Amino acid sequence: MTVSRTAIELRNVRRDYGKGDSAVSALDGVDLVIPSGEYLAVVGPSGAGKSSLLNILGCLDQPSSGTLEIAGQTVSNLSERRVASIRNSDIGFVFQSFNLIPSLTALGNVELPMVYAKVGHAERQERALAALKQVGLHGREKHRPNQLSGGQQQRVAVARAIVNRPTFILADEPTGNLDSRATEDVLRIFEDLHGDGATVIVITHEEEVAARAQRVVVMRDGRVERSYRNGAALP
Amino acid sequence: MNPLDLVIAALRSLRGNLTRSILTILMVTIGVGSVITLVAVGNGTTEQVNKQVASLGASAVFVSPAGDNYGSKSASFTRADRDALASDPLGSAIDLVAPVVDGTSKAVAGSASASPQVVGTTPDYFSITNARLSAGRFFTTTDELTDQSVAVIDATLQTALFPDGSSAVGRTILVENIPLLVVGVLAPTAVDSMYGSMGGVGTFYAPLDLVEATLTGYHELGSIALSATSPAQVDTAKSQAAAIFAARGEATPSFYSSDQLRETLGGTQESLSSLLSSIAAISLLVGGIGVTNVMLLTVRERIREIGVRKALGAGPISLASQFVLEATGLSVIGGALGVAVAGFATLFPINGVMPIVDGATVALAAGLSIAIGVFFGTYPAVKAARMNPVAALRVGV
Repeated sequence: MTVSRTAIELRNVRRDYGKGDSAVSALDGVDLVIPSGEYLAVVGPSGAGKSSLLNILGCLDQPSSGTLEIAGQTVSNLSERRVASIRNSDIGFVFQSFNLIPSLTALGNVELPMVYAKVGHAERQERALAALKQVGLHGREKHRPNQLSGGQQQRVAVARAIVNRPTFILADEPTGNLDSRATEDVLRIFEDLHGDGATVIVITHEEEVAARAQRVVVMRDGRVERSYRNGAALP
Repeated sequence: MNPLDLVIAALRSLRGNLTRSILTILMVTIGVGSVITLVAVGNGTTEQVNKQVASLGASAVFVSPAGDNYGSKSASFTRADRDALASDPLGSAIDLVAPVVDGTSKAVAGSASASPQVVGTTPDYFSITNARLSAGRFFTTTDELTDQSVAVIDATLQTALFPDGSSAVGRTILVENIPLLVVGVLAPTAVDSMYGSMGGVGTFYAPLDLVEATLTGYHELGSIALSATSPAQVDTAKSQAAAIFAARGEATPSFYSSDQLRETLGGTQESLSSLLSSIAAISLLVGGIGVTNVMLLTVRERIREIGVRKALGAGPISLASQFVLEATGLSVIGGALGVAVAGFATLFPINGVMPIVDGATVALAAGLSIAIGVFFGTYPAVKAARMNPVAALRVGV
């Protein structure tokens, strides 16, 4: 985990699709500072720009203008290879549909980010086992995704997201495909990770998920409409 | 991604689509196997042609009169021509000279009959043509001088006249009602077996005087067979012979040497070989296109996985290498199996030809199979590596 006090900083980030009259702004000047160790939820109605923000934060897409800094490093005009390396070391993705590689075991899936980080075999296995244990999947290492329940698959995905000790965990509707018990399991793991000092960003449209975060950012029409802290007085 | 991890990932995904992988491997196997086998058959045919030509006598030159075009004998040789060639000045490249009269005749032995070719010549003819006996002896100068009615027949004629398989040596055959004692039978040559299988009629050889006195009548020689002092001297012998004919004021005759036979047969064989090789090469190309096709399908099916791998930090080179390696895995396994199949197939004669596998062909085919994987796998791999991760992750959601 990073020593920098600010995990992510977005300044006047725009994302436009198309050109001229038909141009659409998915992000219309977003300013957002996420301190290290924060547990943040991003909410908003569909079309508010949540997905576009996720893609920019995840370095899967580049802003049309504005700047993004991750752990003090500006992410723009970088080579495809550099961006891949940032995704590998700074970002831990958790997707709504789990997105495990079906041909790999739970252990293999968790090892994958370390494979791309060129971590040695022994260390890889050790860290992957530790991560699986951390999400309560001890003993399921050799199971393939189709032999696991949805909740278990999502916990494998979380183990995969944390195993490279990224700057932040970026979860896109992580509980969207889960029943309430599995949702509770995953949210508890996020709280534990946050308790251990991890930066967690959850993009969701479920209020009960957002309610578990420290701070909630509400998006509307491509902008940050407002931001509030849970547990503090509601605005 | 380190190399070992790449290989493991590639093999795992090939196993994941086992049926498809096996079918693609089969395509490459057929391609590589047929290249090696067909080139080996070509080599075997070349070898066979060389042996056939060698069996004719590598130094032999057959001289036909000028204008002798396929039987229309507008000119001919005389014995004086033969004597001029045989006069053997010092340093001549011409070694032996045998006059030849030829024709066809009817031969009978018991109830069997045949219409063989007749060759009337001298004992030197056998040396010139490198003839080998399977039984008995050649006729000799003594036979000629003492007017013996003897003949040497070839294996085809022996089979025709003595169908029970008994030896013709010591038996008498009737040629145009003249009894001839068979003193020798020639060993079958590759050429005989070739003509024999095409319904050849066989040949018998008898002393020149005997043939002229009884069968053809005394007139001009049909041709002259001569041998050069060594195979390397064939061309010199030809030009010396041409000079002798020129000195005698005769038109330049036509020469036919075993080299030319080699060229004629070799040329036919070569064009056949290259035809076979092209067909094999096409099947290898088809195998390669099969690899591309399967890899494109694989990439398309795994767009989601590609998106996930990108999100987890797979660089473009890692991703491309993975797919190139998968393609190479398919083609290398296919190539190895192709080498094995060809190795087995070429243990047996194919169409009467014993294939000859040479190391260079195997190395070429093996190298080609690797190249096919890399070449035909690159396009799908680059396509995968260039994929937009946002779009890739959205597929199938």
